[in-house]
Amino acid sequence: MSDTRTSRAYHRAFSSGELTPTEVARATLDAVHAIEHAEPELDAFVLLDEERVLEQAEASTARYKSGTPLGPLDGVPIPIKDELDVQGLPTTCGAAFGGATLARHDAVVVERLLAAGAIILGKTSMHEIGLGGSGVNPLGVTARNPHDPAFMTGGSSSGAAAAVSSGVAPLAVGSDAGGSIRIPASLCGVYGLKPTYGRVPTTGTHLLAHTLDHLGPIGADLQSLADFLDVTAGAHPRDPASTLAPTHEPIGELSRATLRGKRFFYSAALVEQATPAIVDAFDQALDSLRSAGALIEERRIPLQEHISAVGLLLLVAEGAASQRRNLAKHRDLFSLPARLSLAIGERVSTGEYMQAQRVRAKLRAEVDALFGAHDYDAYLSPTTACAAQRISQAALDGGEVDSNFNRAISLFTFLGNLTGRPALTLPCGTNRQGLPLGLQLMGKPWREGELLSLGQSVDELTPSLSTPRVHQKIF
Amino acid sequence: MPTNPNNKGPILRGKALEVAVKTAEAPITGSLVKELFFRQLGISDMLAVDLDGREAITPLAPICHAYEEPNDE
Repeated sequence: MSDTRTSRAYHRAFSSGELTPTEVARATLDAVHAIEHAEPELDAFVLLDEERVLEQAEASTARYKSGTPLGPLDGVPIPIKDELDVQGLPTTCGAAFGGATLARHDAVVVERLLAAGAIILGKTSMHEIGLGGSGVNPLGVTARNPHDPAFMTGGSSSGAAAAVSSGVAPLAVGSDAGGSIRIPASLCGVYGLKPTYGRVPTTGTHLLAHTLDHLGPIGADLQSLADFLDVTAGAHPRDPASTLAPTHEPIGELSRATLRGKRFFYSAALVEQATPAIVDAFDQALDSLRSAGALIEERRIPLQEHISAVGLLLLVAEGAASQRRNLAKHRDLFSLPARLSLAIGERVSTGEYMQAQRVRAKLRAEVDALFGAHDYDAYLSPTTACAAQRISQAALDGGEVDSNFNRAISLFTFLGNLTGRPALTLPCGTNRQGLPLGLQLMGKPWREGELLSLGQSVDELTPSLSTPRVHQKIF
Repeated sequence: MPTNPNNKGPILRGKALEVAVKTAEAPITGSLVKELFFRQLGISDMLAVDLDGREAITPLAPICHAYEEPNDE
């Protein structure tokens, strides 16, 4: 990703006077037009409010000129997943019936990014209502993978990952109920963080699954993820989970954690379910970590055989509940795959839902005990059990349901949603087709700074990726 | 259950997907589709997990309460 500028590179260029946010905003808008008119078009964006982008950039330019920038994200263009409200713009959630009214308020995350001087660079495409890991949206906009546009981005924050991977933005906002930040970040070869549950308030976001959903960043490097967290973390009275979170200690400049003596674990039984290329890349990463002095142990995760089942049941049940009104009004405007999942979700009984939540509570307690008993710093896994798949015409035309893919794509990510622990993905080589693979690290609750520092050191050991086929250099 | 997508299971698309959706949404046959989905994804096994007396857990309590690190003292 050497050709993609990081958010700190933007800040340095603005602070030194080499470039102004207005110049960069204009170049960014041109770059977005270029990727959206490529053949095939990348379809990362569903909406671009150019006038507002330039207004915000002018204000940022004035702040830098007067020596009063608001912080490292001042003047940095950041697109928003089309699941969060941005005042005056429609929020479609990737649904054919969405966006009938304009948002009256900004989501709290958007409000905080604006207060930090960021430029809100439009809305990004997503998997329909966030219910799926491919990013293929038969009734909406399907983003394409910048490394090979014939392949999917992964989802559901598909456009956010495509925007960062293609170089048009160093940072984007996503959401994650079963891996929706980490999956597309991994498949597009960039970085993603699902913070601890409650760390970033979700107020003003149209969530799919309330007990699983998190907001977080997708970025061109780990520092940009830290900068996002420093600006957006903190309680908001309308998100009860956030009010119970401990105060976020700003991370600031990421330090590199030494790997010597750090303790990690992984589950061989889960890893072996991934494709051979992913198993190889993961094994190489483990070897590199061991060579750097890390202690890595193989452990069985308690209840690991039930993780996907608990996650999928909660996702479809909570998804059906959150879409109840839309199903009553617009059932025919959902795609067939979404209708199938939601119809199953509508039939989940209270007893089944409660059993899934109780198994989840037991899983959470036992994972806490495992971390505590061995003083582990992080759990390691591939981010997904398969790489990006080719986008089929049938999937674009009417949608398709591939249960094996759905389970493989979220096999490793659901654990973070079920336990609420922070988890990040970083690039970890490619498969034979040159498509990116990801490495996931899941850490201790509320210790995102430590996790990102660990990630920084691990990132130096993993293979770097080549520049994506569809890519724009902003400066 | 293989998760490697190279081990292809049935993929629903076109007419077969339409029929599956109609069956899932119909009042009488919907339960059958749910059962099939549950069996295929191992949800039926999860529903049989023994909770070792943890039935008393209030599963919807704010998740953050569970996040005190045992070694933090």
